[in-house]
Amino acid sequence: MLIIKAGILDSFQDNGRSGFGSLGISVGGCMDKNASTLATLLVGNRKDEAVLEVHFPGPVLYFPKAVVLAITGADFQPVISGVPIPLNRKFTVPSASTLQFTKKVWGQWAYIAVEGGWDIPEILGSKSTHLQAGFGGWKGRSLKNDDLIAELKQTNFQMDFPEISKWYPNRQMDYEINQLRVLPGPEWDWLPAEIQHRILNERFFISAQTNRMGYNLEGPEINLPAPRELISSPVLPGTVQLLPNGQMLVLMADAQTTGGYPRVLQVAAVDIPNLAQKGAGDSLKFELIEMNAAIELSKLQMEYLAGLQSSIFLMHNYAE
Amino acid sequence: MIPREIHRYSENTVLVSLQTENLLQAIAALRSLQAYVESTLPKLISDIIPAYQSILIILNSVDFYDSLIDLIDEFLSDVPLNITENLVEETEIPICFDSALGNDLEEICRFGSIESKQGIELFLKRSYHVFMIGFLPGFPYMGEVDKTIAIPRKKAPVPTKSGAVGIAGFQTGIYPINSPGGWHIIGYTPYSIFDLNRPSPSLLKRGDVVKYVPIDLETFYNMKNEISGSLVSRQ
Repeated sequence: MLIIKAGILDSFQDNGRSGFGSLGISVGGCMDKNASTLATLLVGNRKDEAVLEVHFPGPVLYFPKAVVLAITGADFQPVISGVPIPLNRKFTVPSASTLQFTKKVWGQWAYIAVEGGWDIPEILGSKSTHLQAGFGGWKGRSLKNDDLIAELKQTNFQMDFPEISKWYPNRQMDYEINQLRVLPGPEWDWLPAEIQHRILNERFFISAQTNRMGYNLEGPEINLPAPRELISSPVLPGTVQLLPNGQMLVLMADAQTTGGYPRVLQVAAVDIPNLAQKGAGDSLKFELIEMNAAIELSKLQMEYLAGLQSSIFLMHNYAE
Repeated sequence: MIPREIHRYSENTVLVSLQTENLLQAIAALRSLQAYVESTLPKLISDIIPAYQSILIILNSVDFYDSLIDLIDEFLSDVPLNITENLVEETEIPICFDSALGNDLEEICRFGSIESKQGIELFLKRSYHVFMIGFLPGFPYMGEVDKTIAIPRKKAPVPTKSGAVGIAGFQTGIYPINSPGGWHIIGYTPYSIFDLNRPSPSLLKRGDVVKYVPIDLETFYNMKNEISGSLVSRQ
């Protein structure tokens, strides 16, 4: 795969690297792990094989040899040699194909998977790019013009036009929600009842300040009754911090491992992919749920992905 | 029994917070808790994030939370209040205070109303316990800095160079890579704080004790040139 023109933020990601929290290394990985998992499964890869995560404007990619691909997640209207490519399906492209993304219709992060995966070294057990520290993925950075990355699987298909699988999973991921389900954070009780009520009843907007480390929210000012410091404490993706300026910040995939701002809410695991696909100007309201409910939803999602894996592999005759 | 709180942070994580102002006691207790949990339930633990007075345990499953809580509770009940760190050898870290490298020594000394010579002395006099590694790969949170030079964070972060030794209130730390940073910089070390090429990438770990050793500018550059390993840099 040759990068003819790099997009604004293309990077290789997988499910991240676990086990290094004591060294200050965050797990990282794909922003929308539901969509990225679907992409890897559709091309018959292992669930944790790396994919290319792209933001909009996306890259222009050239494939010298025929390859099997799948694109999931955000809808950036991918096109190959004038042929529109549907999302959430496996498809094969002829040699000397150029893939580009023509229009942003929905979402923030699209995923491209190639059958067999790309030849990227594993650093600390993962192919994810740690953009801040500059290691992992492709040379520890987002892609640039003229980068040339080899696919691990060589193919010999001969064809003139892309061949698109007629099969696609019928149950789409549930992104169309404006309520973000949350759990109380460790410092939720630093807030008096009126302020808690405010947070749960006001509408907040994703600001333009968003990146893989966190999404800043805009909305009515939320202030602690008196300034209060939090000694550096552990945080996770999904942790909602209350900043001194009265606004909130939701930590995302590349968040640091610790932070000193009060942790007022924790986004339920089931809704992190939903949040990831929201962008500047999108609005949301928080819905406080019980831990048991959050766990149930999380388990349902895991079961869904496991079931999906079985049926995809059955459908495409992949070996498990 | 050390007062503590156990909070289910998210679906598959447990936050154990110790209610103690004694940071050394907290490090010791949390370190032994981490070792215990990791050795007793290796397959259940996905990751652990230690901090000053708390530790976040990330599990591979949402199903075994209750038994983990019992285990943690029982273990912490047995931890004596007078737990202290085992004697750890001091790690010497060279530091250069030369203004040619660009630092905030003047500002730090203005804060303490002292001369730079005094400021340097106050900083070098103490040994610093590594409380935790966080924020950036290998970034050590150490303490405690002498009150006179315990200058608070800058109003906003500025570009900070790798090797910068910073102060933020009672804490001192070392930047492993170039990064935006809000800590006031007192000097620079030529040592590589985080290096993926080492079997143990992070130079320091929680519980270590650091003693700074002053070096001049020439020694600083010589050491920097000698040190072959450095964080894999962007190309």
